[in-house]
Amino acid sequence: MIIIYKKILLAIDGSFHANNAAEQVAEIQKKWGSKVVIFHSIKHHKIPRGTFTNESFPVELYRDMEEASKKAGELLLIETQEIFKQKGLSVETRLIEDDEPEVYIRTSVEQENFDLVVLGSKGHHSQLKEILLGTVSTKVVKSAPCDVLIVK
Amino acid sequence: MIYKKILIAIDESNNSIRAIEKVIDLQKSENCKVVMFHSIGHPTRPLIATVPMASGVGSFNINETELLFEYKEAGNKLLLARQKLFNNEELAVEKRLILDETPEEYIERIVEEQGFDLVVIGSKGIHSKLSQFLLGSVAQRVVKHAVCDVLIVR
Repeated sequence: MIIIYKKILLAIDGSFHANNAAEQVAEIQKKWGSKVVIFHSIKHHKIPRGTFTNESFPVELYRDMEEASKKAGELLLIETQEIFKQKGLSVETRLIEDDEPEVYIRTSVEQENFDLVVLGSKGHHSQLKEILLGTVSTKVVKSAPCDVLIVK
Repeated sequence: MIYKKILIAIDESNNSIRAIEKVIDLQKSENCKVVMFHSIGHPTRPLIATVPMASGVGSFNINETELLFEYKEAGNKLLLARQKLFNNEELAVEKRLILDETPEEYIERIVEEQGFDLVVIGSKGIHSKLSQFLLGSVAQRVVKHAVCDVLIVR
């Protein structure tokens, strides 16, 4: 059998399309036995440090918010992992705190030789930025050094 | 992959040949229907026809009918050459030359009309450098208006 993609990186964000992407990757993995890594970036939830003074924005609150977005991210990864587990497949999950999705995709593809990146066509990721700069998917299409599958 | 009906957009670029190779691999393992098209409906075509150009030995006569004829000839030749890649593997492919729609316009319309479930396209074609600069690559525009899954091949 021909194995077209051996190592797949799946970007998720909790959106409907990202969920479809996970389903599609599970099918691919089932058919071809590819290695799959799933990641979720919470970089956009972070408020840049120094945006507020301590009086207007207490450090504890900042930490709470950071904790909350981490927990939500981890939960999302576990939920997505479940899609694969139910089909008897195993995947690696990663929570990315310090890189935007398109940046993480570019560096990890280069460092770890993924041969396919899969993502949903329209995500939840920072709606305002999408209007200003284009969607994460169009940025990935432009910058990813490997094949990209955009799932509707 | 679980795709049954694949539409592949091609041009003369190397990325586009790699895209064909991926589709051939898919077709071998999946037995899906494949339609391959090449569009000569560049957004810049009317522009080129109206701008005086030095064609070869200093002639400035280029009219749109002639230009269209040239594009058609080249397009059909390209489709025939790429069809051979499929035929060498004993695979069937339908080929189409698109005259008046840009690749992204054609993809958007035909995917819905004829129910394709995957569009395959090279990441950077040699399709109209000018419009790439102005509007982003064809791949980016296809992704933006994606009506089904899109595979971008590098």
